[in-house]
Amino acid sequence: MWNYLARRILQMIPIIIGVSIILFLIINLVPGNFIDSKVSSTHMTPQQIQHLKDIYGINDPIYLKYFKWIKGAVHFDFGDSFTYQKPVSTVINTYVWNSFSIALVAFILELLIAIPIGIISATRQYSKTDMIFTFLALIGISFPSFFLGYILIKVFAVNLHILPLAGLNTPGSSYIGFAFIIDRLKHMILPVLVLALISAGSMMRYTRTAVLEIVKQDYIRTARAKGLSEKVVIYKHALRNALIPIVTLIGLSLPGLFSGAIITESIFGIPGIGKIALEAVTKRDYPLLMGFSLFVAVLTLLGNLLSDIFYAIVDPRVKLK
Amino acid sequence: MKKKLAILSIVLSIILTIPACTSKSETGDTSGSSSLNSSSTGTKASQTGFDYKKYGVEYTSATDSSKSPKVATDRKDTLVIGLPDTTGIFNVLYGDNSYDWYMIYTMFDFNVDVDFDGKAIPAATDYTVSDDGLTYTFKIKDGVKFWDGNPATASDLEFAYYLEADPKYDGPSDISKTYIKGLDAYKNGSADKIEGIKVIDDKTLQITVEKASGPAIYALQVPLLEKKYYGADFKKGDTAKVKEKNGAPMGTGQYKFVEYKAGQELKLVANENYFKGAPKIKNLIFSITPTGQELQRVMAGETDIDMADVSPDNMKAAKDAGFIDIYRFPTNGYGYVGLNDADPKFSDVKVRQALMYALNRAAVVEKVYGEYARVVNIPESNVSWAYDDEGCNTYEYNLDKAGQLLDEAGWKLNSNGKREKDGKEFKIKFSCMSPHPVTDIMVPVMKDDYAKLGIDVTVENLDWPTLQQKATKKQLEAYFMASGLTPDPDNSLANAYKSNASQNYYNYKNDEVDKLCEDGLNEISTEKRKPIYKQLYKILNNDLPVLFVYQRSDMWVANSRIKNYELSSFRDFFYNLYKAEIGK
Repeated sequence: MWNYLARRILQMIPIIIGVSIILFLIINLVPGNFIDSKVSSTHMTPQQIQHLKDIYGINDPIYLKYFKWIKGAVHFDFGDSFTYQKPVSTVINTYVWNSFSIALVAFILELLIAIPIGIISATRQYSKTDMIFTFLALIGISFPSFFLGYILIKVFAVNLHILPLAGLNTPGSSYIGFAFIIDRLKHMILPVLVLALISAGSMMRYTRTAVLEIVKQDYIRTARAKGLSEKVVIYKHALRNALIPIVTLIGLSLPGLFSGAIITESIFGIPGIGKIALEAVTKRDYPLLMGFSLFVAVLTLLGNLLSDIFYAIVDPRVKLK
Repeated sequence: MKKKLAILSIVLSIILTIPACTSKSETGDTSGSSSLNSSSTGTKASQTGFDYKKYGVEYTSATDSSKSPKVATDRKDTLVIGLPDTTGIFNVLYGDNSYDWYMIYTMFDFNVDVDFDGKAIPAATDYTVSDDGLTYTFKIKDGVKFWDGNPATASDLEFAYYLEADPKYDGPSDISKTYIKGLDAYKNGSADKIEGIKVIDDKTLQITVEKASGPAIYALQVPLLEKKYYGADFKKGDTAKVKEKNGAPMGTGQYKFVEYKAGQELKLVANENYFKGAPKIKNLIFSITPTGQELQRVMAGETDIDMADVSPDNMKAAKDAGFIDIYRFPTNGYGYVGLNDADPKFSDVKVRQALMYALNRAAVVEKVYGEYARVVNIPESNVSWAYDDEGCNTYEYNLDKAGQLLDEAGWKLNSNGKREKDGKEFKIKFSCMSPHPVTDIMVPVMKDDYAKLGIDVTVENLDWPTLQQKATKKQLEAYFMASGLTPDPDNSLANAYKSNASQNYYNYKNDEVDKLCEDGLNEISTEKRKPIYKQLYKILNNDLPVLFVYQRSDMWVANSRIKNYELSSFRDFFYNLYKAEIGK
């Protein structure tokens, strides 16, 4: 097991280097640059524009830019964000936790909604209940988040005035302790709901399929033949095996928890990393973009590893060697 | 003022992405209900005697303040301002966008300010300019103190100039246009002092410049940064230490920094020792509003004032809410169609004029902004002291005239009904951003009308940085963009229309324009500069280096419980926020 872990982690190193080269090329080959798009109307002299480009390293050839970047990166120094004038790691650290807290709550809610419904749907396949849930799931899957977000805002914030429109806290509030938590929760309800509802649909369908596959197996028939109650059959015998693919999915969701939800964050004014990353694209803030993309790439690799480990834990037939 | 300029720039890029517009019309179109109440739609003076109309601000007063939501009315000593974004950099010289600067204006003072009509005026210093225009003397006013109690001194002012002139300085200000003596030797050479900057005494700083110029006073604007705090032992090249303080400002301004929650809000408290008088509202909060929800948040009472898109829909919603004051003023910028004037297709003035006549600007502007924008024929804001379009051609939509001009220029209709000259058909490749409120409407109209003239237009959609870079490299033959207008006309004109100027993306070259720009720059007297610019505008109006399209307007929507905002296109209300009051 430990051997396996060490090997997997070592294997990640060349992958990350490869990924970093590809990312760097993509990011740097896109036309436009930070200085040009920023100073477009600041009425600077051409000399000053050139001077700034030199300072920001925009005039360097691309291979030199990459070497400069990787030299810092091996020491975990990803450079300073052009926009924020702070180390990239600081910027990510500032904003990522807002995204994470919302994404985590939404993810838990998603599981709480999707898994029970998935099981119910599967056990009553083709019943009316199943049809209704399937219909709702498809709505959830196909609903764009901005549309749902604006509808919820319109109803709960604009018309009913019971939830705030935007932000994470009431402007100017100085709540502490419990009052702070209540205020924060109020602000989190709508974004969490949007994130959970739009992703619960597919998770529900996964669960349904997984359970359906299991209940058709011989050992379930045996369990039923033994006279076990339907509850025991489903929740003890079938569910355990049905959860194996779900657990894998959970591992793979890791990067999603940190990468931010660009659209949802923009709609609800949440200072999350998704919004920051999108701005980095439009401003051509290369260091921030590069740092963030790599951060997500590393999380994806870790998520893969995690789901392999989970798999081995929940399924004794799988041995990690 | 460079900061102001920089802001304009950003505001500009915002023009490019967000709809809004201009005001010229009377606001007599209010819904019937307003007349029942004590509505005073139109322009009027504020309680402090500020004359909105004089500075081109269309002020629409709320009709029923009692409709203000309880959340807002409950904030007895707090003003909440909504803004779309901030980077958390609270140093004027390093701020990234206009919203950073808005916040900064409430925390810092400058030696020079821009007045409501765009003229330079003394701020935290009294200044004099010698008759030859070569020596500027800044004397810090009595009572100007930093938040930590230390009085501002001449060496604080000196420090700001040295920071901005530093070879390592990488912020958006450009000090080169001040023409301070010895600047180049310091910035690009080995000098360790700037020859032209001299501390006379504790409160007085003298600056000697190499050549007299009207706009130099704007370029000489610097904030008061406490040297002891930002860089007690500041040496050339030492900017990193100053930047470390970007998130923890120390100013002399109206409001003192309390707390910043990244990407959410900035909390400030009144500076009781402010040299112009203590602010009347104790707490000031800047709250980040998601784009598109500015008006909604003011209506919900979450914020007291925010800048909303100027559209007929928003205007109506704001008026219907009853408790919202609307402040609308012309944006400092204009949208234009750039044409590569060096391209043989466009090099003939007649062709450009034909394209202008064939572009139905009035219809496009009306469709996008309704009555809240105006068609422009010269690159200047109608609020500016330099504005004068007397005798300028208005290029009203006229396809016949356009066809005639094309004929005269040698572009004749061929057998396919296309314009042709020297065996080449007239085709235009037009680049623009999409989605974009203006081009989304303008491009189809333009394509259609140009097709009627026998010109084919193909469209290429690009994102903003790509469009900008291609323009900078002069790789575009025709495109849509917006350009900023500065308080001093020189900046926006010389940068855009002098040959080889940094924003002359369209290869325009006219020796007379170059000379007039130079004359306008070198003249110090505003009265003597006026006729120079008048002539310049007339030439540009005839030459059409680009096709001028529209100037829209900006709009602040405000909960009427807060009174006495003072603002104009050139000086936003943040500067005089200490005068704002919470009404009953």
